[in-house]
Amino acid sequence: MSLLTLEGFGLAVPYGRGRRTLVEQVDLTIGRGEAVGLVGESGSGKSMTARAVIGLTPPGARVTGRIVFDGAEVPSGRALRRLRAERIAMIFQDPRAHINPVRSVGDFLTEAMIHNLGTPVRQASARAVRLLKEVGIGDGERRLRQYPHELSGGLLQRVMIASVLAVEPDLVLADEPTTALDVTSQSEVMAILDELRRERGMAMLLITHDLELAAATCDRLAVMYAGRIVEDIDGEPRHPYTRGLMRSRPSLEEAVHRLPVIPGRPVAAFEAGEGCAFGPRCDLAEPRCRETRPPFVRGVACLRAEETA
Amino acid sequence: MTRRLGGPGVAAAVLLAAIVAITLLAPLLAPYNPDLPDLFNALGGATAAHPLGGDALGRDVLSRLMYGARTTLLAPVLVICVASAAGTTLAIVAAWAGGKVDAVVSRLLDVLFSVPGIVFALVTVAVLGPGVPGVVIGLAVAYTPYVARVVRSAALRERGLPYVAAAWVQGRSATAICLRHLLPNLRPIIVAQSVSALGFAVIDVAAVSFLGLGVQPPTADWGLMVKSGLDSAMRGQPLEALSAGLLIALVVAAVNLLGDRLGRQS
Amino acid sequence: MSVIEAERLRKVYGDATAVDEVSFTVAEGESLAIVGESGSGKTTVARMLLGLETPTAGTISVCGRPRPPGRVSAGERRRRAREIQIVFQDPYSSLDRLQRAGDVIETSLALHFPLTPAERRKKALDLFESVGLAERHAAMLPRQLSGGQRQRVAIARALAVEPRVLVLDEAVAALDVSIQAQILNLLADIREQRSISYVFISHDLAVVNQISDTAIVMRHGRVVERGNTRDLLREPQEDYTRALLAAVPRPGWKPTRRNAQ
Repeated sequence: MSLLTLEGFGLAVPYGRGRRTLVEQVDLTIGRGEAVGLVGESGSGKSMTARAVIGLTPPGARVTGRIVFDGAEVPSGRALRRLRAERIAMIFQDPRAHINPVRSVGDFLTEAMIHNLGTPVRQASARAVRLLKEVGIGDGERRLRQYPHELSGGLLQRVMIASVLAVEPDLVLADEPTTALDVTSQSEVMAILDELRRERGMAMLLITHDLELAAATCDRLAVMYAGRIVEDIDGEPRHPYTRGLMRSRPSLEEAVHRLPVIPGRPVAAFEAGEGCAFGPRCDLAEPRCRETRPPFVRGVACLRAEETA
Repeated sequence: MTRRLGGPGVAAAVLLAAIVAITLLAPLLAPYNPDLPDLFNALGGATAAHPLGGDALGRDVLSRLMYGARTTLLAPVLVICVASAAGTTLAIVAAWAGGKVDAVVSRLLDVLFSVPGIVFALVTVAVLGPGVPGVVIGLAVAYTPYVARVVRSAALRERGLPYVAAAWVQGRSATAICLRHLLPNLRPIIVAQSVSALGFAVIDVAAVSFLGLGVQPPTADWGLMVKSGLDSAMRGQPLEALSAGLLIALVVAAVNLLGDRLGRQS
Repeated sequence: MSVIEAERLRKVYGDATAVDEVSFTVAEGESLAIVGESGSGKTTVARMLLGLETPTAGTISVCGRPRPPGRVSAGERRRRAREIQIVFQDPYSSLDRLQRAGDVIETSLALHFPLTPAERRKKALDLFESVGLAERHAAMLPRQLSGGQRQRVAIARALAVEPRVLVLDEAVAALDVSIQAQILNLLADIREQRSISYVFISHDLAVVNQISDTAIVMRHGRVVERGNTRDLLREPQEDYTRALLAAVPRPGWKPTRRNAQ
C-alpha cells in the first residue's frame, strides 16, 4: 500500500479578482521507504505541491483533488499539526531561514522531543548528541551549545536533518535540500539522507531542479512543467522537455561549440495556453499539439512520445 | 494606494485632508472674526450662534479653532520637512562614505536622539526669542536623527546591493549613484518615517505653545487655546480647552496611523 | 599580450585571510575560470579586479596599466570602466528596481560616449538585440522581466562600455537549467564576435568545462591547482580537485560521505 497518494491535486491562488492556477491534475504516489524525485524548473509547481502535503499553502489558496497519507485523507488544524510533528517532516533549501537564530542548536533539536514526546531534558540532550553523530557531526556536546550563525550552511542543513530524525517520520519532504550548499556538502548531505532512509525505511520526496542529482538518489522520478507532471521517468526519458533539459546541461566530459538549448523560458500553469504547455518551446510540436492538452499515457504526457522513443 | 492603506488608513487620510481644507477655507467658513473680542460672549456656553461658546475675551471658539490649525499644523510640517531633508542627506552621506564619516555621524545622531525635542526648542527659543522660527529650528534639529537613523540603515542595505556596485564599476560618480539610485529607492522609507515623526512634532509644537514659547497671543493656536482654555475651565467653561485638546489628539492619532500604514508597505 | 596580470594578491579581513598569494594572468581573448566552493576567496579575487575591494598586498594590472590602490579621478574611473566590467550572480538585485531596462543601457552609453539621444537609443537597441532581447523589453522594469531576461540586461549593460575583460561572478548559477544553457551560448557568441576576455567565477565544474580555456582551483584563499581546463578536469593532480569532481552528480553517481567530523 502506498504511503502518500496525490489524486488530481491542484492549487490556485487569488490574483486580483480571480485566481491563478499554479498546479493542476497532479497524480503522485510514494510507497513506504521509497524515494521519489520531483524535478522541474521555476514555476513548475514542484515546491508548491510538496508543501501542500503538510498544509503549507499560500494564503487564500484553493486546493482541489485529494491528498491521502497512510490510508486517510490529510486532515487540517490540530490533527495536521500532529501529523506534521510526528510522521511527516520537511527539509528546506535554506536551513538558516527555518531555524530560530537566537536559540541554540541544542534547544532546536530537543524542543520537539521534550514537548511532543515528553522526553526528560537530560535524555533529550543525550539523544540529540547521538543524532548529530548520525548525520556526521562529532563533538555533539559542543555543537548543542552553539548558535546557528556559528555553523556553515552544510553543517546547519545536517542539524536540520538531525531534527527530522528526532521524530523518526515516515516521510521526509526535502525541498531543494542541497541547492544552497557546495558540491562537496551536497554529496555528503544526500549520502546521509540516502543512508538514513535505507536504514529506517523512511520515504522521501526530493524536490529539485537537478535531474542528475534526482536520478542518482531516487527510485523514481516525476518531471513537472507548468504545474503538471509531464513524465514519470522509467528508464530513458521520452518527453521532449526532459530530453531537452538533459541535453542542454553542460557536461564534464566534453565541451561543445554550442549547447543544444530549449528556446524560450519556463512558464507557470496560468501562463500556458490551450494545448501542450511545452508546445511553444518544443521542436517536435505539430499543429495538433496546440489544440488539446496531451493526455498522460503510459508515463508521459506527449502526443509524439511513441515516435521519439 | 487605497487598498494598501486599508479602511482605517483611508479614514485617517480623509480626516487630515478635511482639517487642512477647513483651515485653508477658514476666512470663508469661520462665522466670526477670530480675533474680535465680544464681551457679551465672554466665557459663554454653547449656543446656536456660538456652537462651542466663547473664550475669556468672548472670541468665538469655533472660529479660533478653524484659524488656529494654521500655526498648529504648519509649524510641525516645516519641522519635518527640514528634519527629513537634513536627516536623509546625513544618512546617505554616512552610508555611502562608511568608515570614520559614518562613525562620527552615527555618534552625533545618537547624542541628538538622546535629548528630548522640547529641550532643543527651549534652547533655540532662548537664543532667538519666543516665536515660531525658534521653535521650528529647535525641533527640526531634534527630529533629524529620528529620520536619519532609519534611513541610514536602509541606505546601508541598499548600498550593499550588486546594482550599486555595477553602477560604480561603470564609472558613475558617487553623487549620481546617491541621487539617481539610492534616493529614489529609499523614498518610501523616508516618507513613512517622516509622517510618523510628524505626529510627534504636532505634540511638541503644541506643548511649546502651551508653555507660551511658540506662537504668541493673540494669534489663534490650538496649543495656546488649551492653555488659555484651562483658565476658562476653572471658571466653568471647559469647551475651549476640550475642543482644542481633542483636535490635537485626533490629528496625532490620524498622522500616526497613516505613518504606520505607509511604513508597512515599504 | 595579457589583459590581466594579478600578482601575489592577498586580502585580509581582521584576522581572517580571504585571499592568499594568488597570481594569474589572462591573455587577450582568453577565458579563465576561477573555481572554488564558498569561502574559497574566488569572489574576493573578482571584486579586487574590479576595484570594489583593495588588496592588502599584491598588484593588479589591467590592459597593461597598473592599478595601485587609492582614489582616482573621475576620468580615470571611466577609463578603467572601459577596461573591465562585471556581471553578478543574482539577476534580481543587480538591476535598480526603479530603472527601466532601456534606461540602464542608455545611462551607460551616455556616461562613456558622446552620442545624440537618437544615436544612443539606436545603439541601446542594437545591444539589446545582441543579447537576445527585443525592443519592447526596453520599456520594462526589472520586475516585469524574467530572471534570464534580467541577466541579459546585465550583460548588455556590461557590454555597452565595450570592455576588454568581462568578469562573470557565478553569472549563470541562479538561472533555470534551460535558461542557463541559453546564457552560456550567448556568452560564447559574444566572445566570438568581439575581442573580449572572460574571468568566469564558478563552483560548477560542468559549466566551467563549457565556457573556459584555462582554470585555477581555489581553496581557503589559495590556488591549489591550475592549468588548461580540459586537462585539469580529465586528469586532476590534486586531491581537492578530484574531490570536487567526484562530488558532481552524473549518471551512475552515488553520493558519498566523508569521515564524520
